[in-house]
Amino acid sequence: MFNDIRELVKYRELLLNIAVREIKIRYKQSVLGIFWTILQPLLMMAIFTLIFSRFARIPSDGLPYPVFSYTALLPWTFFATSLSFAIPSLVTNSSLLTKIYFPREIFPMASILAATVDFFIAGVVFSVILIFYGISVTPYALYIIPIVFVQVMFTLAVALFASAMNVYYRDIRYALPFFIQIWMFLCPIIYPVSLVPERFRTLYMLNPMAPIIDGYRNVLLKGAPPEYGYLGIAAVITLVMLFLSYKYFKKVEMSFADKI
Amino acid sequence: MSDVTIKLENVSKRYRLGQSGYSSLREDIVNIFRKRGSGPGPFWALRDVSFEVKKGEAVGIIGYNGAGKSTILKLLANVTEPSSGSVLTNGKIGALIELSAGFHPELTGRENIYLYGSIIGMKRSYIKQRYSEILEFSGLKKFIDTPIKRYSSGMLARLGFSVSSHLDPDILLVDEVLSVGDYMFQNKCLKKMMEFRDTDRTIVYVSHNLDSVRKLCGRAIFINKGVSICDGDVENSIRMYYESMSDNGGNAGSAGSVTVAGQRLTDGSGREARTFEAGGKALFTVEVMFNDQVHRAFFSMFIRHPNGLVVYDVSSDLLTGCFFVPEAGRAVKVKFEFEVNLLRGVYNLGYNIMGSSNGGPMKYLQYSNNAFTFSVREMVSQQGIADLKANCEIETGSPVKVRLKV
Repeated sequence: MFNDIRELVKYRELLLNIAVREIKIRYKQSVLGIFWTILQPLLMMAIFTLIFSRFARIPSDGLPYPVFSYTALLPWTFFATSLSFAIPSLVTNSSLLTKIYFPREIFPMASILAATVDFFIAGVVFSVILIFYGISVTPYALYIIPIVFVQVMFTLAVALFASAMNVYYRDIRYALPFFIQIWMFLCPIIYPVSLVPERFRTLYMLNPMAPIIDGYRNVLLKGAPPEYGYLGIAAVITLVMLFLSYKYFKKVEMSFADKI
Repeated sequence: MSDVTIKLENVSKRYRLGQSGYSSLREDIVNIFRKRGSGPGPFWALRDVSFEVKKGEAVGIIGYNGAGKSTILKLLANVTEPSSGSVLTNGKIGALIELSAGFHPELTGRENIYLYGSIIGMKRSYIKQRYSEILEFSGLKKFIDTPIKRYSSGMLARLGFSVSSHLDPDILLVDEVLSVGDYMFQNKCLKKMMEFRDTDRTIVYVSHNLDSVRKLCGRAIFINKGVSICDGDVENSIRMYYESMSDNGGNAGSAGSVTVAGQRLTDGSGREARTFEAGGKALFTVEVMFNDQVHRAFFSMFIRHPNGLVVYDVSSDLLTGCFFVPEAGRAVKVKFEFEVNLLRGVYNLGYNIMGSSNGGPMKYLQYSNNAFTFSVREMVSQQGIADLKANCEIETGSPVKVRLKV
């Protein structure tokens, strides 16, 4: 494991270059370029507000619904975008995989790194929204740093495992949009955690994305600390998953070239 | 032992045949309930291959498509593992691969130089430092800020080779990179690889361009169906390669009614020869016995270029103006004398005998696709296959004074 990480560090420049390539391509091919990144969560926010707040009257813990949903969309969009690029990444780059050696985890990692740029831009938009709604930020907001860390690590864990599986089972790629959709409803994005019945709460919070998203709202909007217990469990689950999926990835890595 | 940079010991590589490599979940679930071992058997891409390459050696690997050449490169590049046996490499490995693999069409030439460079293992600072050199070599200065989707395939090849030729590994793996790009550029690439070879490093070169193998490599390995058939002298391996071609095509051998008593290929002085000077004389003799009564027969001889092109095909009836009537049970000796007006290269010589009995249709009595493989040496460097003995004269209608700049 340590050798693998050392090898990866050796190839950090390649990782960066591949990530930059993904970003450049994404913005070069579309006319609106970077504006898509800004527009997409804003549109989602508008639609969610219209449907779930206006029509369905879903509560939002007393927060303005647009801010409430946009905050949740920050980590969720990052997660979903990362996966949708990371999971097919090994297959998409098969021509390189079969010819040149380098740590293969570079591809899913680069996809996540590229999604980080979108995440950052969405974050800037977020601060504009906060100012617009006159929501003041408290020192608790600093908790966002460990929360983002857990979020990125969890994304990486899922991406490594699923991208390697995708080499063997191409079904995964097709199931992915469906899967992400379902997962989204299992997260407190359009509704608050308080809507989940008390007796299911612990089970509900075992999905690491749930305490992460809830944590965003607590520390950024409510000026409160995150729910330490749930977030702690999410961190532990994340670390175990990351360890296992990285191990799995490295184990099957050498046969990628034969399978693709 | 330290000068051995590559060592393959009893290497075999097996692939499972059938639904490419990957499967769908459904298939796997179905397979759980099926007996193991059903379905198509394994495919051996390599079988018990062993060889060593020393520092400063350039080894060519030749063979048909699917013979296992690329599998060897994959093993050396550490992209895949052998099913059994061991692969050892000693030193930093650089791969010169099918060039467009690392490129992205939307990015400019410049961006792709950096991207591709880092994929094949160059540091950014190193590329930066060599950038102008790379650009110079590619000859693409004018187009370097254009997205490469507007490049022609030849331009892409140039770009790719220009980057990878500035790689600085101990072992260079080259896979069929010269197939695109114009003649000038191909030569440039070859020269660059020769320079590399001469700095005491190792090259493993896979190519169907046998001429380039000949120029670059001091040794060649001929691989057929995953087995190393011949390892050693380049000409020898190339000859084995050609000879196996006729095995594949069918050396029909005796058609029943004739027996070949002997065949010879000799040079102008009457000595058995397999290497000829361009423009020299050659004599092909074949002696056959007709077992059955044949009423009309003729021989033909043909010379073929390795790529399959028939360079020359001639028959006895056209040369002598008549068929001949062989006597059953008696040997017939046929001589074809010809001038080797060929350019440097390896050629196959084959012949066939046709005959008919009792006014029936002409049938093949003997067909030998490749009776001999011979090579032609030539001093003047000309290109092509045939020596048309060109002359050149330059006439100026009215003398024009040209001021010579020194």
